[in-house]
Amino acid sequence: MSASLRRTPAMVDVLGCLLGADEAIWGLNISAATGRPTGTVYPLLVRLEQASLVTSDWEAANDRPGPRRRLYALTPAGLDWAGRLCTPAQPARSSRPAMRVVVA
Amino acid sequence: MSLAARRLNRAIQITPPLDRDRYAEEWRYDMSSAAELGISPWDVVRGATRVAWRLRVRLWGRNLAGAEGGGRAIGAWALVVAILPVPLLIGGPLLLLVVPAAMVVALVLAHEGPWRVVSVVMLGSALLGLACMVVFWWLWGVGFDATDANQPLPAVMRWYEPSFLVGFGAFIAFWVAFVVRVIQIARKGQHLRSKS
Repeated sequence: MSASLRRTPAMVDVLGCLLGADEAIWGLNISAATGRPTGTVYPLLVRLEQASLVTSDWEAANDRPGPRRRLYALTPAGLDWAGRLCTPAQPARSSRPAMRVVVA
Repeated sequence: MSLAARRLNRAIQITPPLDRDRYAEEWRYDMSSAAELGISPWDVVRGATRVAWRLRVRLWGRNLAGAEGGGRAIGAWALVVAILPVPLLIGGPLLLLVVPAAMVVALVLAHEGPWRVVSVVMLGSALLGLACMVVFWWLWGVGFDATDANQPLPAVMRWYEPSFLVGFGAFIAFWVAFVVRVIQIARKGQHLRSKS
């Protein structure tokens, strides 16, 4: 499986949100925090997770009945990659760097 | 049940079975809590639908490419072969669209992983083949009209046979490259499965 991950404004927003969070963050919260619709955020999270740059898990403690909340966090590899991608100073030739990540 | 909830259930049904439980629970929670964040439940439905189709299309591609195992690949290709005669039976404009549609589908399926030489060959031969097909189709009409009017064939008709031969060669190259690409993807899938 593979995913083509490019530096888009939406990608930077989502990664910035994940980088700025102290702990795993709710997917819908990323949508609210970035102002991006879930139609943009959800597919990005799926691609990042498929590329093993983001990991997700169910909320540990949930006092309300019914479905649980899914929380997302950057993996160590994702942390490193996101840090580099979100760095504002980019060389002139790589103003729109493309990254292809091939993962299992 | 609200209309948005029904649409969300539809998105959940589109999601491949192996992913369904996980995303169903996640999206249902998101929908029930969207108002707390000032997000419309319809926004959750749109996001869920996009992800559901993405996962579904990806599964189709992986099945056809053999990345999900030989049995599933055989089943998927058997389905394709079973569907193929339908446009032939219907005929008309649909028949003309079959070749480009099949090539577009093949290109989408082969877009698995980084671009390689094979991918470039596929795209190049697809463009060349389709261009030749258009030229051939046009020249066929020109020749037909000239013959019908008892006129000598125009000079442009000298491209009639070359357009057919080049186009045919491009189609062969396209499908050979597609098979090579499918084998590459299947081998990669086996390699990843053996690692996990």
